[in-house]
Amino acid sequence: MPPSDEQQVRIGVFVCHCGKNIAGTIDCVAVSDYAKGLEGVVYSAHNLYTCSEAGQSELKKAIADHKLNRVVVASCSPKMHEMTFRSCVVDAGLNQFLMEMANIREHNSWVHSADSKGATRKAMDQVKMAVSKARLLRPLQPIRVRITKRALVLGGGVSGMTAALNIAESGHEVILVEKKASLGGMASLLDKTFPKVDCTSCQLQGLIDKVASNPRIKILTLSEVKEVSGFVGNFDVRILRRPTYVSELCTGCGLCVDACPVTLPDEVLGSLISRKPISLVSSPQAPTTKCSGRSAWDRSTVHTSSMPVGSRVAVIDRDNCTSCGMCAKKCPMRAIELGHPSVEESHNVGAIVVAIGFEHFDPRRKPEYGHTALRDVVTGLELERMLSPLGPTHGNVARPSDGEVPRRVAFVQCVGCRDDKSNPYCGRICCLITLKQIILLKEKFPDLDITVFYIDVRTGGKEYEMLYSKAQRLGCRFVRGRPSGVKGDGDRLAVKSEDTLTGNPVTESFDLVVLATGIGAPVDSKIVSTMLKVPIDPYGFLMEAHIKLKPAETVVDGVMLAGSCSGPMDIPSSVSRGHASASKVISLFSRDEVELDPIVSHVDTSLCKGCLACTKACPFQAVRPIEVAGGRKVEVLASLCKGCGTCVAGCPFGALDQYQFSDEQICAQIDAALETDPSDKIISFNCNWCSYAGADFAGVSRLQYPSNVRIIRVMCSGRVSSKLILRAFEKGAGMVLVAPCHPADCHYISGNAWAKRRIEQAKTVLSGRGINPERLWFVYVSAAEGNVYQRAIIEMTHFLEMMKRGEASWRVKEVLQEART
Amino acid sequence: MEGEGGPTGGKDMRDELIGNGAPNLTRCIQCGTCTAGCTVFELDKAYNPRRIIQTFLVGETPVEMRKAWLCSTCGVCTERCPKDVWPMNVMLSARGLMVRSRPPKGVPKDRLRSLASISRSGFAFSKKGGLMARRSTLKLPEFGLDKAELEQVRKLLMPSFGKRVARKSVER
Repeated sequence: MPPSDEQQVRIGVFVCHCGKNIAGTIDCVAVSDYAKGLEGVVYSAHNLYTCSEAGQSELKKAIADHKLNRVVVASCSPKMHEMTFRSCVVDAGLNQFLMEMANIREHNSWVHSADSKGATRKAMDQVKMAVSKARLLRPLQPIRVRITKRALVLGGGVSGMTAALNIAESGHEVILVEKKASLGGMASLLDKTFPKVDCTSCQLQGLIDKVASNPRIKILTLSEVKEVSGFVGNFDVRILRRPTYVSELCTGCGLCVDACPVTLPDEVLGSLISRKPISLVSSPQAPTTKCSGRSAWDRSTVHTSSMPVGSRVAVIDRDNCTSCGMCAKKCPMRAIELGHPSVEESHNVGAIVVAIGFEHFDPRRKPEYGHTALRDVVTGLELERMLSPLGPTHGNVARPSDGEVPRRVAFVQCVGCRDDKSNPYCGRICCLITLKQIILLKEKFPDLDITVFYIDVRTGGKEYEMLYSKAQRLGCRFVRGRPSGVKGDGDRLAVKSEDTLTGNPVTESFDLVVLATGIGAPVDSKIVSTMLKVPIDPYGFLMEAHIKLKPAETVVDGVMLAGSCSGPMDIPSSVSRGHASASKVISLFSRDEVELDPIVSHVDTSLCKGCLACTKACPFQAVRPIEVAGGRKVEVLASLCKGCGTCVAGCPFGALDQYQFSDEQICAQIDAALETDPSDKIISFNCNWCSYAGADFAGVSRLQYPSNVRIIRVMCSGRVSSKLILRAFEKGAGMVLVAPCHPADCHYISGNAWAKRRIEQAKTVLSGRGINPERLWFVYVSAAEGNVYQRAIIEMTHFLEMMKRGEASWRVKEVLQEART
Repeated sequence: MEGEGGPTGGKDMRDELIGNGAPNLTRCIQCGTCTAGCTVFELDKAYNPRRIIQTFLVGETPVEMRKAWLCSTCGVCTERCPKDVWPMNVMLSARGLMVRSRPPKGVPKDRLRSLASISRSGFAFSKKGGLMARRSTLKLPEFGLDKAELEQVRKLLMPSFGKRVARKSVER
């Protein structure tokens, strides 16, 4: 809809140089000059940094001086600065939705750095597209929704507990969900922590006690979140609570553990000790001490009397329990009830903190280092358990094969780190764990001969380098070389390496080899990612909204990240990320209402025929049939509408439309993009959450692709109707790409499935009109798949060139002919 | 170590290796896994693949380059390299560069002889020296390639070794 008649459109265009980020490739002055000639543009300027204070005040001044009523900013991705410029135009007295951005950095200068001419041409097109949309923008009022001031924290490790405690202390309710039987996470397995080499449980227990005693925190152990729906301020979560099968009558005597006939490898120390499905944990929320199960290795110590605090209670792991009932028979208190069912709870929360931690790298993925095959090859974590007074050896370090105290110990660094065959990133904490363990070993055995095989010793962090110096001072030998393998050598172990600093071979025998295994992504990250629509990186870690500027937030409003689920992290960082995510939650809860973009659907009842195609397409039941005088029509409930636009694309009569992404606006963008040389161009419809972010990621990663693509942002691929696709082909587009989220990842549940269906329909229509349907592509691109987007554009351009050379057909008749011959 | 000198070193050579079978050369972090597991290094410290790769990376005149001929191509380095540098392929690429240089520099004489022999007769060893006589005493059949077959062999050699390399080495 054009702006109100009495008001003439006066657009101001601001082209940002972004230092050399944009201006290094694109001729920003030429783009700015070009914009002056566009319809409706009364002012055009270029700035070094439009987002800077100076740039913003220039923008505001221009709005006042030139009476601008629409603003186009050609700069970085709207995911970066849309909010900045919206508030900037609001300061200048304009409605925030009268600002449109052209993404000439992530989608242009960074991905076409070798094609300055093409990039400048593309930037001009992008500005033209934004201006044509801006001409049709209309002021909108944000939708306000009340916030439920209760937070859900996933994961009871250090960062999860820190976040929960902070939120609770600021006066809000918290539900803390932990998959395991007790709180503490990975830290509870550690004996001492770097850099001070001080007792873990002393510090951890303090945190656990505070969390457990806080009345605002509801702790759900042995629980998992099964389903999440809703949006910021109003999430509905379904939580599955598994029972412990042991009532509060339990005294922690341990007779049940004696009675249990089943033994299994321990979850962490599988190669060293076994456990039983029934085990004792400290009550109520003490760290899970893996040692408490009966150890096959040391049968004399079934129950460690050295449990630091709290009484102990039994917990049954029913996944591995045979339900034989021996424990129940033995229990003097009749506390065991194997028939307890799992229960499901539903909660309404306003924000979610994901703190699901990490997984230790499985050393069996590097068979050359012989873990499992050679008993005296252990991981750093297994050594940690040996060093711990609560561990199976009560703090004595011994060779698993014969129980002897080792005389020569070798550490192998970077196992499953900096390794393209497993995890290419640096584990960040493995070096420090090794240094800490050297100090602990040297304290216990001053004469122990220790050799560390390393590539680089990385000690970035406060007081970390001193640990290195201390280990050197203690007489530990550092050999710079990554071993090729570990082999059995009689009852000892031979490590084969090169001292790369001298070029000499080092093949020596050791009694014990410790593999400093790296940090891997949490096992549940895929599930959590699908459930919360938070993208994961190629290694399985959850992705922050911005790696530097928004480390605690995700692209999903109201969902925060804490701790090592977003990447390898030490305890100090995990704690600060816990604080960071809590502060984001608290600042969200400091308001009573959250403002949502009013990009909802609306219906023109005069065109509606009541066919109800839209009600079937809407995944949120926001479009409902109503009976009016003229018969059956539909209405849109704005408060339920999430703004995907799937219903709009599904309406066969054009009765529905979407604010801010109207048919008219998108068609204007298509027309503008295809005004010149349309047959050379690719129109790409990118969904806001996955493929638009994926194209941004290609930019951030500087993945180069041809500059003939013109990206149109829609909220969901479900918004892309056959009408829009056909419009592009009518205007002569060479190719059209629709890039949705992967099948299970749609931000709007099923928008991408509708998109797929519509693409099939559109292909049939194209064939009917004699257009080669192969010119319409459908490629799934997630927010982390910049490379997939890059490849798609390269391949499409290749196909386009083939068509131009006559090696592939533009028109369907020829395709059919080819098929026949 | 036979042959004298080698192709000129420097950045050009590094780029040429990258373009000819060692695309990940620059990813090397000098961790030493290749040398640690090397079956040749175990016997002869002169062959240190990590060090050879380092000289390629820093662009020094590759005195080390000729050592590429010592690689036994067992592939342990390539299997264990954490950065997918494919050290074995680096050595093969270096060999290719040496053979393709005009005249071939840094190539051991016995390899040149074999090459010449292949080009001449289709076999890596010479028929001279009473081989045929010994075969006939053992009642083994005669063998050899006809002209058309030899043309095929030379055609196969051409892309990797250039047009005249084999013939030239014959003249030597």
